[in-house]
Amino acid sequence: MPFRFPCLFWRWAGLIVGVGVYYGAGCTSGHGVCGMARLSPRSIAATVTFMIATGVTVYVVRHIAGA
Amino acid sequence: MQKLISSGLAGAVFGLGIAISGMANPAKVLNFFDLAGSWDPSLIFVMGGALVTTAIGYFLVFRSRQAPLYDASFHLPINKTIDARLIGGSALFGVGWGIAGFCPGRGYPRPRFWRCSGDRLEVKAFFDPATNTISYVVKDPNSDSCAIVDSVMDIDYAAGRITYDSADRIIEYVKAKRASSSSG
Repeated sequence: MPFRFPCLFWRWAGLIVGVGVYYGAGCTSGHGVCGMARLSPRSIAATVTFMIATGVTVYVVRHIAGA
Repeated sequence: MQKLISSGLAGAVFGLGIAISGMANPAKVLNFFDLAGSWDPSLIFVMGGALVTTAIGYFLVFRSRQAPLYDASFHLPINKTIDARLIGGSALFGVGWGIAGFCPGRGYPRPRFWRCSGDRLEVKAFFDPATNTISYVVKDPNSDSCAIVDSVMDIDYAAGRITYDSADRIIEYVKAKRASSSSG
């Protein structure tokens, strides 16, 4: 399925990612790989949270908002 | 200096791994999360592989060493509290990641995504030597639509015959473009 997203939204998405990793104190690499490899409870909680949030967002953007 | 070089090497290996595994490609990342659509499970092997490798590496390093080679001590997070700040930030990151398909680590190896150069028109020129004509195919980067400008039909005056070699070349190109763009 072809999927295109307007340029402007990418910039907002970049801002959201930046704010999110600042407050969340890490991303896929920091929490998902390094933190989980140390079995850090904070990292496991963060990884589960952002994985769910990403899945829900992709579902909303692709299947509910439509492309 | 040694610290800088070893950090640089580690960063280069990390970036190479992300680039080779295809995780710098937002479409691939988004497809991993698209369980209801074009699901591509390969990210699980990249993350799983990285996780297992890192866990083994940490186990070996922390068991045998008190400090890194080029630093006085390891700098590990000491905060243990799971609070609203952590969960809220992570949720926000997930939303942004879901929209754009990259996280900070995954965005750097392909900086063109930050610049949105994909919004430029794709123009391809075809030269027809027999009639000295240049034909163009202009493609809209946000859809599969193409426009063909100045197409030619080949006329062999001596033989009084019409051929479509030039047109066929353009048609082939357009078909290939559509096939590649519809696959993401």
